[in-house]
Amino acid sequence: MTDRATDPHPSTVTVMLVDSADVSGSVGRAGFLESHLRPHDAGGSVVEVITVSGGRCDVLAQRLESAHSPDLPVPAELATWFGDTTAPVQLPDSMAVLVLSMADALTAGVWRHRTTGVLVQPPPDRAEIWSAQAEEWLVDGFEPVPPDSDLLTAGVGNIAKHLEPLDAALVVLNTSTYVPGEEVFWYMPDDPETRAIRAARINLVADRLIPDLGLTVVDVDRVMAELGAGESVAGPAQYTTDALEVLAEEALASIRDLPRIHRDFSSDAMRLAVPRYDRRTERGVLTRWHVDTGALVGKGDPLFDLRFDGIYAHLDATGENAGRSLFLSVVAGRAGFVDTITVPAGGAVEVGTGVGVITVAAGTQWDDIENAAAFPVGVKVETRDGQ
Amino acid sequence: MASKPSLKRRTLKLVRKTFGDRSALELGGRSLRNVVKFRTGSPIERRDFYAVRNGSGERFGVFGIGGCDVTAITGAGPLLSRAHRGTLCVGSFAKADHVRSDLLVQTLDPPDPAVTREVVEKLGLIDHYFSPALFDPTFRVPDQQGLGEFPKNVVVLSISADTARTVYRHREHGFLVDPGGWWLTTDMATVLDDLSVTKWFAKNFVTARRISLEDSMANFERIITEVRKRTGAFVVLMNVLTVDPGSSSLDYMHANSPHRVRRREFHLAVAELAARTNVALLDVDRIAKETGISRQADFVHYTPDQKRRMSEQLARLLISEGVIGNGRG
Repeated sequence: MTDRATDPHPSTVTVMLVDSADVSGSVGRAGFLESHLRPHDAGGSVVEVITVSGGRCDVLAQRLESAHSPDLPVPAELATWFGDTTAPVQLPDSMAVLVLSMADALTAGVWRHRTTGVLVQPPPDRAEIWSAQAEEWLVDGFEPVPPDSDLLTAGVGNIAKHLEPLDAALVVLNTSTYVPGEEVFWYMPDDPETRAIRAARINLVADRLIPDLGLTVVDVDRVMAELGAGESVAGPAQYTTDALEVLAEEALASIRDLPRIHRDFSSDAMRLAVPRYDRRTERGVLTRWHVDTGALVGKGDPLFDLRFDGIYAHLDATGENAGRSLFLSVVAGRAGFVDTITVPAGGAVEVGTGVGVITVAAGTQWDDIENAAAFPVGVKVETRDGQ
Repeated sequence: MASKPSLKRRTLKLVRKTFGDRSALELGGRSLRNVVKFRTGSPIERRDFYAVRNGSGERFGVFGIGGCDVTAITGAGPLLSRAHRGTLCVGSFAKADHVRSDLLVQTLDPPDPAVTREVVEKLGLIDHYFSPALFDPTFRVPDQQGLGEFPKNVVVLSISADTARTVYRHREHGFLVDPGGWWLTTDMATVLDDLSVTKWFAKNFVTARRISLEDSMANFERIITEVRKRTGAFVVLMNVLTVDPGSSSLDYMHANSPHRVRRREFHLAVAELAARTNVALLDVDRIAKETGISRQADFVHYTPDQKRRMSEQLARLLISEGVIGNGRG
């Protein structure tokens, strides 16, 4: 076995994805991570993506603890279902990242065996596919386990505990608190919790664990809100294909920023590209550069300004900002040197097109920039008079 | 070719040149013009209030109080006016540095005016900063005295100031004050030339920090009780956007995000408070997210589209609950 502590470049870096709809529809799409996490050179590390069947965090924690879990007397007809939720999960030595979704805490029901304490997660559509006998077996032998905050906190904490010896990172996708059709004016003390409130509790669990566990939270709630949750959220923790594509980029940026992934897969030269603002903006003008070639930029430093045609027209239509233009100021997401500027101020741009090259070290030689990783950026919105 | 400025604009320019911006003459002229409009049945629409006289029925008032977010309710005016035959005013008192819940509760047992007079003068606070204006049964629109008083049939309380503002406690007398953006909104040269107010403030006040979630909810519970008792108003709570618009995609890495966490904590606590006190909730968090937050500058300043939706929701609530219309109001 390779000594992980002394070998800076293990040949395989494993990213494990917990297969829920948001993960599988974003970074879990076939070949997505493999194509975006590419080695520096022919002898460099390669990424291996493993998918494990979906599960709420406390169920997954149990599966990681599988050596200590008692066997469950599962009836033969349900072995397929429960095999998934009780089967042990073995973390490989090459484990670098586990991507977990909190969506199952919102949408899936978990039951605890009354005597053994084993958790199971029946399929969400069990009412349609299970026999009456199977349902009776579940209700007799198990009790439902609501996703209360303490339970979820313990679940994520236990997962992190298993990752720590491997120096592997935990990336958590939280969940949108927008639930279509769930408009509530009155909250009554005895009413069941709305799904939006439950989603807010789930997201708070993840947020509170950030400083303690050092986990990375991909703020799905914000991503969907930026896209307009009315359009991007189809149901509880269900997102449109377009929204999942944006989420994939967001999650990828977070994964790339993890130290181990960055060390093994970040190119010395990165492509500085026009970020997506929202679905309605595709083309615009790069109005101003804030930096010159050769400049060293740090996280948060302004790089360039954009004006998107769609936004300008929208503001004119509302009249509220008459005489003002909305500008997007693109800022650096990490440090680097501005090596090359390929689109000058005043040039037309499209979302995703490259406008320059950023290198990790000054004077770095590079080629094939179109296939290089994108330099992480943030976007700030501002209005300016008379432009 | 640019068109010649209108007579109205030229007159305004002359008045401002002679008497300065927002002079008594300018404000008085505006107020008079609005009174004339109002009396003839034309609606008066401003960012912070909407008023219309629609027949000879009773007066109906919706009073919102909070940070800049509370101006989102003003757009409910035109919608509510269709349901109410009479005079209507939707007014929003949007001053984040006046409305943290402990400042509002403090007005129920105000400090001695002899002690606070100096504070009001030095910090440029409004005259009734320490008075229980929120709990008065009626309200007037600032600078629009000619419109008269409106009953507080509805009071909308925003929690945004509690999520973000820091207040200061007088070292000797113990009362609280939020100095607002005095140092930031005043010309820097003026501030630096005369640091006496800054030094006076530092000498006399100490930070009371941000308010705890528990204290905030206890304050709001008391405010709701007192508002109901003293005004008989239908009370609506307004929550706050829980995510940070425009934040960089990479700022979650191994970092605590206290503002986002705090707003999520408040979001949940407000829903529980609404249930406990049987108060309706205007869920602006949901509306903002549904409409899209990418054009927001920050969590408390909403776009025209978002405000329109929030106003529609408020109007829908008040009409569906029979607070206005159906012979009421």
